[in-house]
Amino acid sequence: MTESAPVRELSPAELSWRQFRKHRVAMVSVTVFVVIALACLAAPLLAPYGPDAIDMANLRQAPSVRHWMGTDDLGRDVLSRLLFGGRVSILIGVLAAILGTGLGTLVGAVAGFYGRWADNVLMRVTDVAYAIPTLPLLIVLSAYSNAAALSMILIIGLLSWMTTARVVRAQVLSIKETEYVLAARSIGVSHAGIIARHVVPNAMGPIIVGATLAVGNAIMVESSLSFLGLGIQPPTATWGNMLMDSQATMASRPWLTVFPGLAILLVVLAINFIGDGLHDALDPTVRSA
Amino acid sequence: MGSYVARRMLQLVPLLFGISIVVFAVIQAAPGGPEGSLLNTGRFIDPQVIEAYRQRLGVDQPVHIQYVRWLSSAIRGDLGISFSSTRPVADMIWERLPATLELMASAFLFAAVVAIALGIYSALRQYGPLDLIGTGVSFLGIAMPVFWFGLILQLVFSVKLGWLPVSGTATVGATSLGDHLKHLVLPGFVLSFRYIAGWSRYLRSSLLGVVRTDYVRTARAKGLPESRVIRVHAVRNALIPVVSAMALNVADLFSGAVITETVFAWPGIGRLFVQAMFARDYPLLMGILLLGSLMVIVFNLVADIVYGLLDPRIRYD
Amino acid sequence: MAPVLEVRDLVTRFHTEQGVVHAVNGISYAIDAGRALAIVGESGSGKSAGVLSVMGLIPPPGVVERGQAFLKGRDLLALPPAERREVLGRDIAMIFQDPATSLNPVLTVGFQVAEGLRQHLDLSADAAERRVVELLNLVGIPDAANRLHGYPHEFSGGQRQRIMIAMALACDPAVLIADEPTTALDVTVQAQIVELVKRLQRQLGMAILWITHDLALVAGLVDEVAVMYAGCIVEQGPVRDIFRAPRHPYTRGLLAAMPRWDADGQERLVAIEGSPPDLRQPLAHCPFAPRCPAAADRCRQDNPGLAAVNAEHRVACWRWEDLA
Repeated sequence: MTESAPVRELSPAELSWRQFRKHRVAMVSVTVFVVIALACLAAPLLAPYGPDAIDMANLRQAPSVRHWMGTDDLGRDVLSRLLFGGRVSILIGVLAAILGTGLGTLVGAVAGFYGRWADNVLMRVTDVAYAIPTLPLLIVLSAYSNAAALSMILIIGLLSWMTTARVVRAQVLSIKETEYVLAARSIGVSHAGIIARHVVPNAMGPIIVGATLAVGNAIMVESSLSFLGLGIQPPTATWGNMLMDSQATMASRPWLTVFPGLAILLVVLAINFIGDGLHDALDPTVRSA
Repeated sequence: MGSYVARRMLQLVPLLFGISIVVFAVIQAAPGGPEGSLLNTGRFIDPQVIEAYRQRLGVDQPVHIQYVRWLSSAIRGDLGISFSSTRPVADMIWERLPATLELMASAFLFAAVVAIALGIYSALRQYGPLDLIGTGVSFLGIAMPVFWFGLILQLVFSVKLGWLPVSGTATVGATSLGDHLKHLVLPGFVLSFRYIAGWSRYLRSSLLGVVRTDYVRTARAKGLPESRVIRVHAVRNALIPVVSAMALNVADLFSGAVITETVFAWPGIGRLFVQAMFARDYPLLMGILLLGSLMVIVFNLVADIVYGLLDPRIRYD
Repeated sequence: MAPVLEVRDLVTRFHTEQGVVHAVNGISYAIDAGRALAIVGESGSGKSAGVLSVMGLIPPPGVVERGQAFLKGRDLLALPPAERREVLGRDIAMIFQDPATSLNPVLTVGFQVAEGLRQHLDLSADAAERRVVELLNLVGIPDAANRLHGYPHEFSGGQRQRIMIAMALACDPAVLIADEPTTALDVTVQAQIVELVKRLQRQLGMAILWITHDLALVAGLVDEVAVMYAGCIVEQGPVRDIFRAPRHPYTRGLLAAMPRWDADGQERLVAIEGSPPDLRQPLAHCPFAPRCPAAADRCRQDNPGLAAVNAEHRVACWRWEDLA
């Protein structure tokens, strides 16, 4: 019978990467997202015009050679505003997601690990946070702050920890009872050490997927708030407030409505596909032999 | 089953307290305090309203006394007086609530019916053309900004094609059901889209898992027709987690309604909330927040009950 | 008299991403009415795949590539699905390994046992319920009239398996296939189930096809044994012959590996060296050759078919005569 030749064992990271590469849509999405994000971050260098630069001769222009996505009522170039606006939206999205995921991981890990009293309290708090509809609460909170980017990051992040907390808690509970954790405790490793070295690495999969999807969610929320006129205020451009401004002239100048929304859609779609790919790559049950 | 429901309801009490505390705290945290905002809005407010509010809140009292007074009034249905209209908040909410409920219920039911049909079909004809389209639409639906979707549909169907009205619940002067329904189509569809996307995908994956279980194999081994195997054994089991998720989505259905009502000028409490925000009308905001949370909790209870009805194992939890 | 179930040259393959798995490689056997046959083999031997193929329950990517399965003269594998479904559950029934997952958790046991009755025998709800009580009593579920409203999770493992048996016997089938029904149960319960099936066979007279990896368990239950390895039947014969005079080196290895209660406590347990072959390679030689202590060159080059030791006993080994 055949004897199999010894094969070098692949590390979990390499296995995950291979599995991710198989998900073609996710791979394409990574490219799309990176291109858009870099373009927006490099807005000062790439944008043909400044975000507030007024071109008096070309007010309310449809897309043309000079202005690829047209101009708005004040003669500002839509493409440039889109790029600068993207900077704000994407930055807020990423930072808010990091904040929310970090907080959620902490809460979930503590609740799962310490159990009983801490678990009960933290889970009740999570239940309350879940019960109050998020957008209305954010609407109220946004009015308290000066609606600058930092406040947006804080309030969005502070209301996105719940999902991660629940997921991490479930992971911690299942890992807590495994043999190697019991072994570690028996030789006296500290709680923090166990959490850091055993629990978190194993819970990393769902955390990463959660964080990715949280970015998309945060971008969506920020856009919704600016659309309602409650987030970042004009004249600073964000994709959401560009849509707010476009409403009045939607019929006659559809390009003002189409492009910002399309940007949000593309970015969030790409992020969701990446999240899906990561989920397949990091979920041990999906991995092919 | 009865004791299960009773237990779940009992667990709601601390939750309700928690919510009331958070809502109260959020409003108290307003810059200048809740009644300070009264004076800072830059609009004229009837001094009698200010006085009534002061008294009601007992503003000079310690915070926890204020909380108790506010809570006991709220339980009795007295949610205070709106700053912007000087009418009782409860009345204003009561007037607008039906419109929101109508919108949310229509969107929910439509999404449920379509999602279940799509989910079952996609799972049974995996990788078939409808499944691939369905998966694409699902991803699109989850990533689609609700407000933009609403705007685009308005642009296409109302402005360019003229088939459907742009906004509102009825054309001026018209009282027919048909006219009202035409107004419901766009906002209802826009609100439902995200859930069609999410629920159908969830049902699809749930059903794909169920179809591979041992008990479905047993059903086939009994020689039952495939349609019965799918209907009685597969779909029912696959629906259990999905139905639960549906009821739990009511929280964001409400958030979605806030945006949809604004885009389509639908006169519900979502739109009222945004208007109240601009007017810094805190009693109204508090009232709506409380109501929204109550709605969420009620539907969570409904989700638990439905889950208990569908899955007998849960009842002895 | 014609056998009630006859399988001829059954071949089943799984077309997976990692290659084609040759799970069942041309097996044939027959059972007479009222008799019992055990198919014995280790995991991966194809014993479950074989019976699932007969029932038409092989999941994709598996395909029954050829073979015939005659049940009372009709070839099940050639029947269109609608006709096959009429036969399943009525003339031939199957019980599975894990009763915990094989019963639908959200439906009452009464409902599940009655389903086959209402489907095949077209009984009314009342008549079906009476028959369900009868069946539950038959398999030893106490207080049947009340318990039929219970859900699977309210019963113990052994009781769940009894319920499965009741469900399988509902329409009085001619053949009962039992796919490792006791593997997931406690040892004491295992014996109870075996006894129950024996009793039921005496009462009802159906033929039994019992799949297991535990040879000792079925020694007192069956008339004939077929030993499977790597998708092939390597030895087949009356149970007494197989135990007393096994001819195939694999069968001998299996019997030697069984811990004996009368063994001297100092003896080491005997194991068969090596591991089962990779079924992704089609077999051109004796599948057991790599592990066989008696393998000769011929064994490594050609696949032996079943040769007759006597009228009832067959073995697939080039060297069976030498190894007596």
